[in-house]
Amino acid sequence: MKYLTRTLAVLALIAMAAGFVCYRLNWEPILHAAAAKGDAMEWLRADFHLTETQYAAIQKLHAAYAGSCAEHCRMIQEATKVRNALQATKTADSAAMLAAEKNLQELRTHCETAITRHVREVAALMSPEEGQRYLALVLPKIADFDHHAAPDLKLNRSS
Amino acid sequence: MVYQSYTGRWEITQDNFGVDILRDFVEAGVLPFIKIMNTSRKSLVAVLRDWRVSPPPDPNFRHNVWQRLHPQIPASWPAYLRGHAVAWMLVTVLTVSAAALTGQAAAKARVRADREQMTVTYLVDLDPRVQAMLKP
Repeated sequence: MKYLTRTLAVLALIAMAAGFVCYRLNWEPILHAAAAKGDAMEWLRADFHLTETQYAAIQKLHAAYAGSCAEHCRMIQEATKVRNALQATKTADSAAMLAAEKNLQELRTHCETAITRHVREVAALMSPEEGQRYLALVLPKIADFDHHAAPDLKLNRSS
Repeated sequence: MVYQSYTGRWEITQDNFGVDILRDFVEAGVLPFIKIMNTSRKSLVAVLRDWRVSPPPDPNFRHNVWQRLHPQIPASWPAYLRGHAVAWMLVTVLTVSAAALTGQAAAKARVRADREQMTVTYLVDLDPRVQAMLKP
């Protein structure tokens, strides 16, 4: 009985060691560190194996895009306010309501087109394989944001 | 009756067969032999009455008895492992494989979760539609 117990204990230790080694061989600590910090650019660099040149070019592209992104954001906010104000008015003209809704949707579509173009430009700066993987990861989410009001974003945790 | 025929072969006649057999044995000397055995038994009893056995003490007697009662209990751990080598080898291979696969799956799940979280964080920074919802 004591030999059985001893053997089982040693076997459990060996199994735990094997599991731990396989865990460490398969996890990506840099990716995990970036996720822990919430550093998207660091994640991009680590997960898509960017060279310094690629990383610098992508940072430059992001900086250039940030201006238009802020402008799109402001326009969407304004259009949303107009639409909401019309909805709140009991005597709102239906034509004006439709026009406000249409304007908001156009802005959203324009925005989606812009962000899609931007991520394609970013992907073009990566190696072909990594670029494909990057697009496969982000494009479905971009489409999903508009249709499902950003279900994955956990908005209540954002500041 | 048993008799020797004129051809020289021994033959048995069918008349009074049992009686004849018994008489033949008696005549052959069975009864004297039984008498001799009775005499020998008396002397055998006397010999057994006087016979005393005094074997040398065996220090491993108790251990040997237990060994015979439980021959499966090995003397050492390596001996135990050798005795169950195939079974333990199989259990080890299965357990270590399962642990390795579990570790690998856990790591991959962790990487997937991290990547998912970072993709969302990244797109929140890029997507004005989301930012418009987030800003007051």
